Amino acid sequence: MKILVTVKRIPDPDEPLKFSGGVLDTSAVKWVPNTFDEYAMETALRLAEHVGGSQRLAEVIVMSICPAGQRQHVTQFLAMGGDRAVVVDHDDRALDAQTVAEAIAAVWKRESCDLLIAGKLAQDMEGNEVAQRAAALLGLPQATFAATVAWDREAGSLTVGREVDDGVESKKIPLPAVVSVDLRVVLPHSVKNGATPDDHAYQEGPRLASLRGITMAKRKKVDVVSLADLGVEAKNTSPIVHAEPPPPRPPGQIVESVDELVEKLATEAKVL
Amino acid sequence: MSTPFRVDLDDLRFVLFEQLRIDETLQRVDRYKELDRDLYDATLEEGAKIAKEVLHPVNRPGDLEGCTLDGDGNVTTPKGYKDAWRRMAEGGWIAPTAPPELGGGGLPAVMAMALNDMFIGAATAFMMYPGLTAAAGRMAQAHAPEALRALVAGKLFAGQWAGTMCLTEAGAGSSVGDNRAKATPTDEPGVYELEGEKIFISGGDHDLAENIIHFVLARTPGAPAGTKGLSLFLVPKFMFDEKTGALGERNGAKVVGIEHKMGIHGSSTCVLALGSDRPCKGWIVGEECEGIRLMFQMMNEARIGVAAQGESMAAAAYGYAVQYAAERVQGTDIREYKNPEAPRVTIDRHPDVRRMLMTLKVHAETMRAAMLRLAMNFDMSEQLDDEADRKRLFGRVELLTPVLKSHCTDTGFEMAVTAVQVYGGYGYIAEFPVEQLVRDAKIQSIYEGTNGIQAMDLLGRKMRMEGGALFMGWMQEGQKLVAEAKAAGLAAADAVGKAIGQLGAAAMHLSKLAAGGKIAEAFYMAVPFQSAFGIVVCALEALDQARIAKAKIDAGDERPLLRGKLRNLEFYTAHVLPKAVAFAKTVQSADASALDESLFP
Ligand SMILES: Cc1cc2nc3c(=O)[nH]c(=O)nc-3n(C[C@H](O)[C@H](O)[C@H](O)COP(=O)(O)OP(=O)(O)OC[C@H]3O[C@@H](n4cnc5c(N)ncnc54)[C@H](O)[C@@H]3O)c2cc1C
Repeated sequence: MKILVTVKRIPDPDEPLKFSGGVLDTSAVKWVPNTFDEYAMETALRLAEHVGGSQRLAEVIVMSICPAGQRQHVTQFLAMGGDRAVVVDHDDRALDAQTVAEAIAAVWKRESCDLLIAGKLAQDMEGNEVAQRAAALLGLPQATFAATVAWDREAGSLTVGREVDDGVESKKIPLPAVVSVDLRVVLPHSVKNGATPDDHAYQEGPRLASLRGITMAKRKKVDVVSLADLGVEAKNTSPIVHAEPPPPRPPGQIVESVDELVEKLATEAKVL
Repeated sequence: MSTPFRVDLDDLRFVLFEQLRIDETLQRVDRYKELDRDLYDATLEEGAKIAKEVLHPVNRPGDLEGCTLDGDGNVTTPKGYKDAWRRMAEGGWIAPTAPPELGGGGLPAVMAMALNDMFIGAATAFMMYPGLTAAAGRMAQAHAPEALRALVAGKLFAGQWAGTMCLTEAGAGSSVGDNRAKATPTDEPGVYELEGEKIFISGGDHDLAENIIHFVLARTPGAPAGTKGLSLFLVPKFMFDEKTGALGERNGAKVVGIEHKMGIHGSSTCVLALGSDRPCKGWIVGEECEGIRLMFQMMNEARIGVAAQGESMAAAAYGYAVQYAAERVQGTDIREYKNPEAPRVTIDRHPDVRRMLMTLKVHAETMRAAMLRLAMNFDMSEQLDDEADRKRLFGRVELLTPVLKSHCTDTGFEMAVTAVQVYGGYGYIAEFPVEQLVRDAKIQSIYEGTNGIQAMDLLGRKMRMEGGALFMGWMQEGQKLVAEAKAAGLAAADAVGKAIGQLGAAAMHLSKLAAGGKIAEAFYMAVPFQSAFGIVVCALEALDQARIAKAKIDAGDERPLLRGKLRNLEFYTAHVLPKAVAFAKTVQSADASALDESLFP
């Protein structure tokens, strides 16, 4: 089995953003991998590894669209345990979501993958659309917002617990397929592959890379391809016209009484 | 409400890749040829996560809970320690420099130093265990009996076993030569039975690893008095199979007490009885009476490790203080003193608080640079092809080890205290992290040879090695940097050059005193001399950083970090460097007042 995991680099969400001339100023930005993609990677690794055994159940291929010289996030994913990587050498900020999905679909086909695991959204744009678009392009079944994933290797299917508004919906999909993951997929017991003991408790969260993993990452294969190599045309049908920070919040007020509070909510804030 | 722990990756990167340029320098040696900037970056990023997510969470709970001892000599570490140890061990972070052949990450010492910068401040007491274990691993790798070498070193590097170093006894603290523990040969070749009692043994017992390897100094029958008569022994907690490492019966090294102390509560400080309730066996390391020479290898490394602790304390103190000062609102801008309606400001707007923050910043950053440089020189002293180069760099490490051990630990403590001052009353309150930092930091100027003992090592040994050539070589290189910085237009270079001159004059004065038989008068001035030396070593780092920053700024680089380096040099020259000149004057004064026998009768 081949699992394709996608990762986007985004400006560190913990750092303040800078704007200049109506655009986001990325000159001094610290780039980090999208957190939901880290969850996707953790999911893939849990599916691929047999804790307590030595056999590996799947190959995990990391893919990212980014300038080839700026792929530290890819190195990090390889250090976590990815087997190899495909880097599509292009500034993804100049591409729309459909083009990104086309590139992913093209890599999928090139590598003849069986499972695409993606974060449910990227924290910078919060689009929540790439996995779905890729599934459509590839004509594959999809399960979005996965909180649990169980792999039935005999049947060649996944049972996915999906986060929905009123709880968790369980959905069984045949492979090959597309899964997008949500936060709770990295809880200690969320992913089962039928080989690792079902009661094995993983450390919560995406795993930290080991030092050995980091040194090994340098020796792993990274294919650098262009959009043209993949037969995908670079498009941006939804460019950002203007970006500016939201106005600063007015300071809080301390009120003397409940009456005054109700009064202000009605007249000043106009929320009542 | 507390202050989050912060690591300064930007400054670490500046030192590693712009100042020392380790990625280029280390690629020149075979061993590190394959390591590149990408790998170093990934290591730093991951190390920062370890510091914040694995280590720091156990820091305060460990301080509150401390260690406990049961009736059988078993120590329990605070909750969370075991889990943190397991994660460190699994990730290979216990001994980052361990050779890949023995399962290690194979990083250069300079990268391990960069990790320590983040790790120790994150969880000071916890990090004692990995620190000693890694040092014990290298000791085993270099000197353990051939048959055990790879096994024991591998187990230690992997964190399956842990290590200690056992020098101190009740009657033998600073004076290691007064050690009385006995070692008697047995019928088994190379195996001895030990008897005696070691005290203050860090990690003497704990529940983090399956087995503990103690490196113990003891005296064989008929051995001469003093350090010359000491031998070194490898003493396990559990005996083990020499081939498989499978654990056997309990050996007779048993903890009979643990200390209650000012800080580092999570680190067990143990009274270790040897052969009290059952025989205590140990393998001799090296030959009889070679103990002190071999132990010195571990001690030198541990001294550098303790210097790193001091540096990391300052880094943590600065990180906490600068964040707190940006949030705490108190008072108004001094320039608005006539305006009662002036808006309240955060305390980092007040000139005196800014002075304190700058004090924290320059010390944290200059010590970081000095420690990373020391570690890189250590790497090169091991790996360079040319023997003369190796020897020169190793000499530099030897010279600067006592200087930086004392400067970084004294200053680290002072910076923890300064951070408390920045916080005001809240700094004194246990809810905020800086009061623990003060308590945890204090021990660092004491163990691994008190800073007074370091000064004696500096004056009595290091300054005299190769007829004073180590010191002369350091001065020449310093003056060369001064000249370069001056040519680059840095006005402060002159002051640094003068301070080096003053230090040289102080050294001359001391050697004259000693040559004239005034030994006590000379050693009376050992600490002031060492203090001056430390301040000048770090002044050179401030100067070097400013020189690099200036060139980049002139070329159009606008990073605020670079501007900060220019300001560091100005501040250091005005507020810190004069202390070195004052200490140098003290050294050259004819004062011997405290040596008057009628005092302290
Ligand atoms: C928390 C903790 C952990 C420790 N961990 C370890 C460990 O893991 N292994 C280990 O072996 N030891 C350990 N020690 C012991 C530590 O190294 C000693 O405490 C230290 O070396 C000082 O020895 P001492 O306490 O006997 O003080 P003393 O030697 O009695 O010194 C008292 C004072 O006298 C000064 N002094 C002593 N002799 C001289 C001299 N000749 N000239 C000038 N001044 C002198 C000292 O500088 C000091 O100021 C630890 C201690 C503590 C408190």
